[in-house]
Amino acid sequence: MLRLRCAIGRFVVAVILVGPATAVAQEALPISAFAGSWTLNGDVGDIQTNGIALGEADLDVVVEVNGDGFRISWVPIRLKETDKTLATTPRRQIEFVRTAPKVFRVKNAESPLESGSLIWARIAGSTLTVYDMHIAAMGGFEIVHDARTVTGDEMIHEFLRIGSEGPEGSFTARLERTAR
Amino acid sequence: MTAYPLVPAKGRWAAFALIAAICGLIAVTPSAGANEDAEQFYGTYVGSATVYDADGTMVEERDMDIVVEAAKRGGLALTWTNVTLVDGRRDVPGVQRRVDALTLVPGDDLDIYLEDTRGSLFERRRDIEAMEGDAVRWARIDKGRLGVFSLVITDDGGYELQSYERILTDIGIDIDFRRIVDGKVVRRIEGTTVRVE
Repeated sequence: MLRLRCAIGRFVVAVILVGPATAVAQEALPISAFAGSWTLNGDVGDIQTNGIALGEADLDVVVEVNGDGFRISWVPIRLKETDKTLATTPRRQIEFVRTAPKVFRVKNAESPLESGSLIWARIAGSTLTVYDMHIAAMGGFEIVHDARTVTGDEMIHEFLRIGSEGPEGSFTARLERTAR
Repeated sequence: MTAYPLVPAKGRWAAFALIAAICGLIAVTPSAGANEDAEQFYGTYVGSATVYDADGTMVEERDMDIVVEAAKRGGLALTWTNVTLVDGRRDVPGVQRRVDALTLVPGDDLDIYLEDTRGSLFERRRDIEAMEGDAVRWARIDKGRLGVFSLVITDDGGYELQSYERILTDIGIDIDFRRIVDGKVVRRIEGTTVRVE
């Protein structure tokens, strides 16, 4: 296991250059710009999630264009109910369909009011963000953002977890495209 | 060996009907625990709150009234009134008053309450289409905290989430409101109330 090390500021310059805040004003990239296999390149930085541990390939992601939509394979990080820490969950693949020019919904959507997750995605500028919201065990909320900003063959992954229960968390990671 | 039914044939339908009625009653009646959790909030409260913007700057001060009472179908009804003050006063021009109300009923799944959108017992609850812009609203009571939550997915695929916690104290209810847009807290309201005698 690769223990995450605190490296605050390591990717600050990259995030400022290509981050979501600046991406809003840009024209949104097509989903094809995010397609490919992406692999962690270097350490994970700006860690605000104490105790979380990631495997070597846990941040690797695969994006495939599928008609108007896309498929994405990644390792979700969620609150572990037993000890209220953030932890990885088994790798999953989700298929998104387009509902608006740059907004996507899960093909087989679930209701958060019936124990499911509300998952959707959008492209803003050069950032593809997948949101996952669900109602936590004690009835509060949990939302996870996985924002992936692409510049050529480089991807900056910004993770953010907020919720009414458990710790908030965030980190930033740099990935490179290893296959299209 | 002959198997003897526990209930005589003539009475079987009656017994079945009785069991069905009991099961039905259990299904539509909230648990005693849920009611007790809600009952501790019943009352009328008066107090004040301070509104902060994204960088923590105070924006305004408010007087507020909160009424929490029992509602139909094991639910609870909340009514809250905010009076936005002008230079700390409520007797000068520019004062604004707003009244909001919400009725919550126990949900079918999870240990949560849902907004009661039914006009009567016979009107079907409208299905929520979050991707069509419908708000996903629910509430929970946990350890003396009544949290009401609302999530809306915006047209551009972002979201706005409002979290309104009412926290029981020895003298009343404290409030903690957060408006979160795409992960950033853009507004926070903190307040204190006392229970009216």
